[in-house]
Amino acid sequence: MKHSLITPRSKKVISGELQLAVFFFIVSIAMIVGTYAFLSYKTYEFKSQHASIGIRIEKLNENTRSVETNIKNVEIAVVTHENIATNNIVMRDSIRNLFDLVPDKITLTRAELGDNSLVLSGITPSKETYEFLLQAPLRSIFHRTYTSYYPDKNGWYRFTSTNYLDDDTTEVEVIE
Amino acid sequence: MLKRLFQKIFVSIVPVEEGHEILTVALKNKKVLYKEQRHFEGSEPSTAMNRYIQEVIDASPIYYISTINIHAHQGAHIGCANNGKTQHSDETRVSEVCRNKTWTFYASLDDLHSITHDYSVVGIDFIFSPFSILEHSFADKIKDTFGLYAFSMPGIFAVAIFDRGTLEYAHYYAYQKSLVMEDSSEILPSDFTSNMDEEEQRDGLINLDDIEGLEDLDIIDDLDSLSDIDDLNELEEVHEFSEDMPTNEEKRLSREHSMIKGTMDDFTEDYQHFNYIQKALQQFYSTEECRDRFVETVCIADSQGNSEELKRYLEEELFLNVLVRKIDLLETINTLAIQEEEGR
Repeated sequence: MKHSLITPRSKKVISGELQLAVFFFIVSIAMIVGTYAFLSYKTYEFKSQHASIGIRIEKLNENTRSVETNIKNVEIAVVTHENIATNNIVMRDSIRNLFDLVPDKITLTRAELGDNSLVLSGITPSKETYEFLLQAPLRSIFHRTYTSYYPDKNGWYRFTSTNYLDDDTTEVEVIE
Repeated sequence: MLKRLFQKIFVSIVPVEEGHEILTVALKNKKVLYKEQRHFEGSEPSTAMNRYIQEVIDASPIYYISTINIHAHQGAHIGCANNGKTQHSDETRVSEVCRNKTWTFYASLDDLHSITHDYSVVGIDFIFSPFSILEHSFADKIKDTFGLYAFSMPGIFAVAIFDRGTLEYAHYYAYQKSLVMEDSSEILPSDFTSNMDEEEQRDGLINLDDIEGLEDLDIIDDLDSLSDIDDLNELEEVHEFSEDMPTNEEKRLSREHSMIKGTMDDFTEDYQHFNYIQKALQQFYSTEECRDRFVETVCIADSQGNSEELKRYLEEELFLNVLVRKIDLLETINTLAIQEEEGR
């Protein structure tokens, strides 16, 4: 003090009530800002996780699609394999039945096995032997049977028997 | 920083005989926003006055209420016991303020507490000494002039002698209008509670309590030369303030005083002030600090505006160069308060 005999009272620009209000206001603002920062961080973190998970999902989807493709291919292969196996079994049984039909006296030189046809060529001691021992069973199996003969040098007959089932599809397999 | 946004309100209160004068000044960035002066009746702060001040200071949180200490127990002395700061001493019960590290003005703590108690409703921030008013009013003269400086307002009179900024003598008078002069502080003491003893021991000084009657005065022999009762009255008045061993100069002053008294009203303040100045000069001349110096200049800070007669008498009877400066006490107090606020 230069002149005054007493010291002045302290002057508070901000009153106690206002100080309290400002303090709580600042605390509230700080809490809001803190919450906003926390949520922003969490949002950023969530977005990062979401993006990485999206990438993983896409990769997994791609893997799934490739696996599904592979499964389909395998299924097709399995079906194909089953068909082939079934056909093979059917063909094996048909060939076995065919050879069971042929008697010992008749010798086959050629056999063409189709889906609905059978062409047999061979040598028979006589026409009757052929007709009784082979043609009769063939007639019972096929709907139409055509046989042609021509004599061989030793007096036997060469024959060619063509047999058909009444069906449109004809696949020819030649067994030599 | 925030304080720059608010206006500063300075309220100065001066107790006067008829009540209280109040000046309100509002400042913002050192620009005066408004000034308002009010007068309130009553010797004590009235409810209306307190309400007015409260309304004024409610406009801003930064406000300072100032007043002047007009109580008797105060004064000034040479030297500083502290480093230019307000110091309250519980031992001597005084508050001291050092000025320019050369002189000190002081006041009774009890008086200051009394003032703060009187204005406890609105509170007081600054209490100024009359010597501060005096110093501020003649700041341009005091620093490079040897002279007697006085400050007067109703009921108080402060006298100080400065020589180029150094205090040589100081006396403070608080009196009633009934002319019962109340001797208050003393010259050159460092502790006003012990001033009276020092004053008694100091050669050439006057103690009014020692003068009980005419028989105590050496000049009683001169009574034979008086021709009428008026001259006797004049003689009494003169020697109420004389010393046991008057010097020639003092005798001359006494004679001049008796002549003046015949033409001045004994009960006017001008006469009191004349007496105070004359007594101050006598006391100063009688001290060792005088060192054969002669006071030629008297500067009076007059807050009442009625010192023209006093000036004339001082010039005519004491042959002094008198400068009367009319001051607005409320403005001066507010100016000091602004300086205090800026200096904090």
